Amino acid sequence: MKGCDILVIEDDPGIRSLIRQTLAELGLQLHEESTGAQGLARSRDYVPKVVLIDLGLPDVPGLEVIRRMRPAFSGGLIVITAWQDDESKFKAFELGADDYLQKPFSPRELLARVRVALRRSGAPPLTDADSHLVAGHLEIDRTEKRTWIILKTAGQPRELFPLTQTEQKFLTLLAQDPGRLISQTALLAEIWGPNHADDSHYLRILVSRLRRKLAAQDTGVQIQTEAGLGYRLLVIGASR
Amino acid sequence: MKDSHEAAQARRAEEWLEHLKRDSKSAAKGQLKIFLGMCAGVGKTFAMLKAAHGERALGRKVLIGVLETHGRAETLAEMGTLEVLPRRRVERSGVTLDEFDLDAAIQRRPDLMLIDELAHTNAPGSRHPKRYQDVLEVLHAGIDVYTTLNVQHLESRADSVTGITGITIRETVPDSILDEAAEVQLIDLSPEKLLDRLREGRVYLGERREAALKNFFTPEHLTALRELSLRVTADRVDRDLLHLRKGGGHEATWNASDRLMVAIGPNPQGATLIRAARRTASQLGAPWIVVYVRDGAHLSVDEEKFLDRNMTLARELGAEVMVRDDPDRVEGLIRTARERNVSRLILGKPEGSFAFSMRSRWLEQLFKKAGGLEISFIPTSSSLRRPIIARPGTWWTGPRRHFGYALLVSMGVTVLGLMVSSVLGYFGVGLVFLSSVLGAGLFLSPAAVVALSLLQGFLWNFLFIEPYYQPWIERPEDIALCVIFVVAAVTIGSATARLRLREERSRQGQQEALAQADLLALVRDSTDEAVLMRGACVLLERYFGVRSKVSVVAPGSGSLDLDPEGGDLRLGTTELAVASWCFQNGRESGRWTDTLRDTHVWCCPLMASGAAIGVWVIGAEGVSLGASVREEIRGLVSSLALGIERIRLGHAEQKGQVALESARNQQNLLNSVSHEMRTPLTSVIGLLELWSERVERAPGSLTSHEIQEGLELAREVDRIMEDLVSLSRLEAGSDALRSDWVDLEDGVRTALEKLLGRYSGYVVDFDWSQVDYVMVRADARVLGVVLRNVLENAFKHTPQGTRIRVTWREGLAGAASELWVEDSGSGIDEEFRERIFDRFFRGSTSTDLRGLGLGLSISRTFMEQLGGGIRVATSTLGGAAFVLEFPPELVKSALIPAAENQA
Repeated sequence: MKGCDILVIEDDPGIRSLIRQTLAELGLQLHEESTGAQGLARSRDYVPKVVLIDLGLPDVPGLEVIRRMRPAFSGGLIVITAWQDDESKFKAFELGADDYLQKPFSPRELLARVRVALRRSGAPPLTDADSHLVAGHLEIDRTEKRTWIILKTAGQPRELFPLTQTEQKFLTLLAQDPGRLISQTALLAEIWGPNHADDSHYLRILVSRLRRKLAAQDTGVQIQTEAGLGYRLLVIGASR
Repeated sequence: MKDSHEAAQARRAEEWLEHLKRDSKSAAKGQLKIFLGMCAGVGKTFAMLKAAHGERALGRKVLIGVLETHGRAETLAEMGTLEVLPRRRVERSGVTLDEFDLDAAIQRRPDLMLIDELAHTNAPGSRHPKRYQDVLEVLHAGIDVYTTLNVQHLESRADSVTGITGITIRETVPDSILDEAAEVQLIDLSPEKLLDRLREGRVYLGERREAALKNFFTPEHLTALRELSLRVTADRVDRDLLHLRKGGGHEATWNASDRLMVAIGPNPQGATLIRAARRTASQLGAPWIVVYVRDGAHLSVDEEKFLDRNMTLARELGAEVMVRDDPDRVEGLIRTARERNVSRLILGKPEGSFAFSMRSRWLEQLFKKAGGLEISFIPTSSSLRRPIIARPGTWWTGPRRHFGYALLVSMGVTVLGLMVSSVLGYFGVGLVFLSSVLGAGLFLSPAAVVALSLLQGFLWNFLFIEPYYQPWIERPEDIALCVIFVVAAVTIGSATARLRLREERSRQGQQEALAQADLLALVRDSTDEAVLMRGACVLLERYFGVRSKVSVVAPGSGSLDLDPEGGDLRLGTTELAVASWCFQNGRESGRWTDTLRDTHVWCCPLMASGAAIGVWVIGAEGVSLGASVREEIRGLVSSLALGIERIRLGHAEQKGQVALESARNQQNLLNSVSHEMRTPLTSVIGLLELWSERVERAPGSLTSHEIQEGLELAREVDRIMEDLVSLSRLEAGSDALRSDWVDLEDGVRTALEKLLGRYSGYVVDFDWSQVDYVMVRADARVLGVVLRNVLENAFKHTPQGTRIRVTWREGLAGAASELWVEDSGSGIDEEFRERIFDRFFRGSTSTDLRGLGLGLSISRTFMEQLGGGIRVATSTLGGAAFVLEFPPELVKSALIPAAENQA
């Protein structure tokens, strides 16, 4: 059976062409569908690594396609939407989407999102053995719960990057998958426990302070806010 | 098997809810602690004061509401420096009484209040007849209370204490007060020690000491009282344990199939039965019902009073109170038991044992019909030989005036007989007499009819049968005739009377059922509160003959708005006060209650979801509503409350629906506009970007500058689109917005980063090192649009090289905090400072016509919706300053102290 790496479900030929041209440099198998029903069928036949899906499809609503696709599909799922409201994005995340692109998006953004999704779908899940994460110039020790900053200066290879306990937890969660959007609900639940899922100001204050610490030194990373949805860790200088 | 498992689960869930309710209830209300003793002089007040000192040491505000020292030196000394609330002086028939000042107590709002002697009876004319009711109100106001109580004053123990000491206890408090208490502390003292203290004069002084030692304080009495108080405390500990066990999620101990029902009548034994049933129910942890079967008997004033007292007691002790109409008492009892799934029926033990009495007959019937029902008999005080269920004699005899009427009838008919006897003969007179007895049966009580029959029989013989004016009869056939007359008159007359009574009663029951049905129909059909309330008052007047007035509080507003003049019922200031107390406390007040009973109204709260939403004020002047009739009216009250709640829910739903619909429509429209516009735009932007990159790699065909220009144009369209969407969401109201905490620094930085890509050559001063964090509660996306617009405004209308400064000014002492965006440009003329916020206004000084004046209009709408604002000021940099004002409740911020900042 003929397979593919990336499945694009989008009704507008212009956007499909843009996606095709943008992703050409990845050198991967790409398949395009223009309706939700066919897209759903292909996702089952071809088992792609990443699916890009437009929420405004002519036949089946995009959210419905995600709802039906998700149980059987374990790869990356990126939502493309022209809608301004956050509700549909939230719903998409609840149904299992990994990331989203707001129209109009730039090809660079598209490429970066697809790369993150591909990396995730190919990589084995983290185990306890993966005790060290590297993001930018930071080296995070998951077992010791400490973070080091890798120095370019000769002599000393690294020095301790002082973080509070919660900052350490937060950074570790984001650095497991640089570039990936982590929802604020998940972050709140992971760091403060499920009872604090609505206390977003904790998270905001934490991020505000951590951001300053990251900017004060040459850490090579920054935290990007996706308004109302969550955060992602961006590695400065990496191809987006 | 499965069913029982599910039932068990449901039961556990219910218990949990109940448990949570108990917890939350105790959190909102004040906590009650009772210092319980076996009798006076054990040191309750002393212990209470000591505990209060401890609380004060912990920093709590303690106030003595009322305290009796009885001149005891120890107590006086222990009072020490605790503050004492001044008493309220009450003048009553020349005697001045010092009473606890409830209103002042609640107004003072201490953390903890000491109120001595819980069982005290207040001076007449006080708000509540009993002090424990004052205490409940203080607790209700959220104030903790310490109080003292002797075991003999507990209602359920009063009988036992009388049995032990022979002293009748008049001041009692309901047992349910123990359930209210968060803690009951037993103050125990051995009888020997107490007697020592008494002899030393530390309890009573002078003559009182001698009298007390002789009558009440004997070692035997004290030992018995001590045992009683220990048992009360032990019961309480048992229940606490049970409560704890339930809280701990262990197996429930009570059996759900247990449900007790106790039958009461309009007599003093009812109270004993109710107390006994409560004890059993609370030991089993089972629900219990108190039922009164109304069989059509006419109740005397005393009986009404007893019935009323019994029902009030039952309600106070936490029973479900029911009135059932059934001419057959046994049938009524058994039916109620079946319907309510009762497992055990409790009755008073009948007195006497003669074989053909009414009582043994109904007992026989009861046993025959009881089936699997368990029946317990409880002995009641033998000094009052009355049946437990409504006495048959009452309805048989009827009110005394019926005998008077019978006498009048007799006189009239006899005179008539004397006039017609010459024409009809003595036989005809007999028939006239007989018909008079039958006629009386239609109006009078059976006993009066029987009396009339006998009287007429005698008069017929005396006046009309030979020999005249002699009590005996000569001819045997006349004797037979007279006997037949008496027998016929008695049987037919009393049967007629009985039938009529039964019919009347069932008609009354039907009337009440009709009232309930009519109200329910009204509730079903009404869509307007005012119409429903008016209809309910009309129903009450039609079926019960009372005038009334309903007032409900609009959702969201807190006060009752009763019109004293309108309608049939006029209300004075006292009546208004009664109504407002009823509403505030969610309990009945006025006539027939324990609160402000000396008034002409009876107020019932309309309860919806546990809170009072209004009051039904029922005129009680010159009417007498029996306990059972009031029970029926309570049913109407709760139906009305339900109806009003239903209407309100309906309204809220409809309103919500409309708002949601309009928001959804607008959202849908914009989404489709947005989708339609952006899809082609995406292609344009994407392709332009791609070209731009290709051209950079292989220059020649297109200049990168040209492409950038096009790209910028396309992006501008996208920004306008975003502005439009934001504006429409703002106008749709809060439904379309998502409120969350937003990091303002992050918002400004993100907007600045985007702008600096497009505007180069500006000096941006964004130094927030003195700010630790600033969080604003708002819709993140719309706030982003506002920040972008305000900042872009500074770039767009000033030349390159301009300095732009963004600062945070923390509002002090509850004032609004401000975000300042200043520039060193040419500033804005005073006359335009307001107009620039108009939609689509374009600054006349600006030569740049690309931007529609939408951004500032959005910013103003948004800031005003937040409760803040936006204004233009003159900057110290020389140019314009745009100031965003955030209300303090939407801001969480922290500044870094100056010292730390320097370090």
